[in-house]
Amino acid sequence: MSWVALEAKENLVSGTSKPLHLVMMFVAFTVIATIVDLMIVQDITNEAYKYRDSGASTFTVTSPGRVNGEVCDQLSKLPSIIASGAIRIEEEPLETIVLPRGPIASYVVSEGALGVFDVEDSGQVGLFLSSTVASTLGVSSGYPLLLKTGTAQVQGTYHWPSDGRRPGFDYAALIPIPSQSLFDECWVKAWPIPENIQILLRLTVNAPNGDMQIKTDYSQVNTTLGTQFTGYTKLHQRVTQHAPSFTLILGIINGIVLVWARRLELASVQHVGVSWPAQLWQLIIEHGICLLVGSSIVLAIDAVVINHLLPMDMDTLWEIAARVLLCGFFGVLLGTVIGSHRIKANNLSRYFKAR
Amino acid sequence: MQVKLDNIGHSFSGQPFLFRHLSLTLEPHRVYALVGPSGSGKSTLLSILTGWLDPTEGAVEYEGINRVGWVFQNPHGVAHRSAIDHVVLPLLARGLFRSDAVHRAKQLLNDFGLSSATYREFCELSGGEAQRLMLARGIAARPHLLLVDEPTAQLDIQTAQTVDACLGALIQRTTIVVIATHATSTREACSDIINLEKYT
Repeated sequence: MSWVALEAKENLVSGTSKPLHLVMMFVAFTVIATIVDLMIVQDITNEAYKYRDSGASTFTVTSPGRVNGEVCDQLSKLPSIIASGAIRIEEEPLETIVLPRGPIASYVVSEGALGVFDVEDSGQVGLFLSSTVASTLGVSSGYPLLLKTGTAQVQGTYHWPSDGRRPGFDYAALIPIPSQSLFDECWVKAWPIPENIQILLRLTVNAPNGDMQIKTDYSQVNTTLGTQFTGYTKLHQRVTQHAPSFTLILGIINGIVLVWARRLELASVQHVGVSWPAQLWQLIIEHGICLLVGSSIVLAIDAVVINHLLPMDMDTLWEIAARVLLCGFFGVLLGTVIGSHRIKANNLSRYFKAR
Repeated sequence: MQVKLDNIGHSFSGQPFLFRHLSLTLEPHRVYALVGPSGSGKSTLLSILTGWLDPTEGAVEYEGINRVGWVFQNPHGVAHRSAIDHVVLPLLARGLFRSDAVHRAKQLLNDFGLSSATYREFCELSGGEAQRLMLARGIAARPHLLLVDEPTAQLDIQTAQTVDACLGALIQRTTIVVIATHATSTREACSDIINLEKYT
């Protein structure tokens, strides 16, 4: 049956298979479907990052003097918990020698809280200043900070933008202390957000004798983007989630049309003795080679688009692109089989008259 | 090996019969000219002979006929494949090695006066060359019964003569040949004549 492969090659080289048409159509509908879906996914992903990075996915429980710092820190070991830590406000703000009339709100925090604040740590023991304080005082990591009560080392800084997140931390200092203490709040930065987040937070509140009536307040660091993230619903209900089905159907149609356009030639070849299975293999080889060429072009375009779009979540984007590509690829092959199945030598006379 | 037409007739969905009471036996190594005015049912009879259409009345019996070939009025090749490609393919499908198939194809092309066109693309052939190529391809498949529909209808007289000159090659290589034709020259080259006017 090597003649089948040779015949396929000759048909490709001579243009009988319409290889350019197939490659162009395949690249066009696959790339369009992929890019449209990627754009929409990118919008939803950006929304998700915005939600997460603005503190909307950082949940808090407040129970003054009852939050167990050790338990709170341990929550970060659970799946989808990025960081967790406890904080307590210090009644006495820090007063610097440089700006004695600008007291700095200070919080004692457990070690885990440094992860929640996403601090830049110099590794030296000391306190953490918000970037606003650091720039106002002209200090940075590793610098000494002259206080009225003595000298402290600046261990690092953290960023607290005004994007709707809880006020009070934009001009503040964090003082890390061992976790084996009691705090006022436990903060949990989670992604994706677990359904049982409140139950987890409740575990950090010490309840003497199992008293569940102790008052606890639950909130988020940033409530301006809503209490629930709707991105998952948007992702699963987006119109373009059907892009793979779309390319599958277009692929099938394309495969059928390509074969049907050659019905006279194919029926004629069957009529002079070429069997249907041999002809089908020939068509599969012809279209398969065109699709491999088309796929290489699509992958190159996808690579450019994905790298340009959102390099941080490339795996998901590649998965979406691959699904669309594979559906288009196998759609054309399926269409080829369907189209070929409909071509009969017995209909040669009809094809001839209808040409 | 023969084809028996037993009192056949055909009409399309309530229309008057194109022909009826047609009984004859098509025998090996004979070339039949199927003649009659336009609309007398020549193409219909060819369709019946190939088995693609059942006659309205009567029956067709095939004895030892397994492969039926049909060469159409207008040549229908693959535009950018060479003449020899057209003839080699049915030979390969019959199981011949490529070298044997190419050798046989060249012989056939030579018999049909197409040696100079062997490696030319189908779209570069003249009308007469293309029609002769279709005849060569038609018999490459070794049909027991070859049906040829108006092979010279679209050709000028000179070109038609080149096609008629090939009918000898058909007779040598095919068991039974039926040619539907209007052309007197083609009719004269055949051994028998079936005039459908007699069966209306």
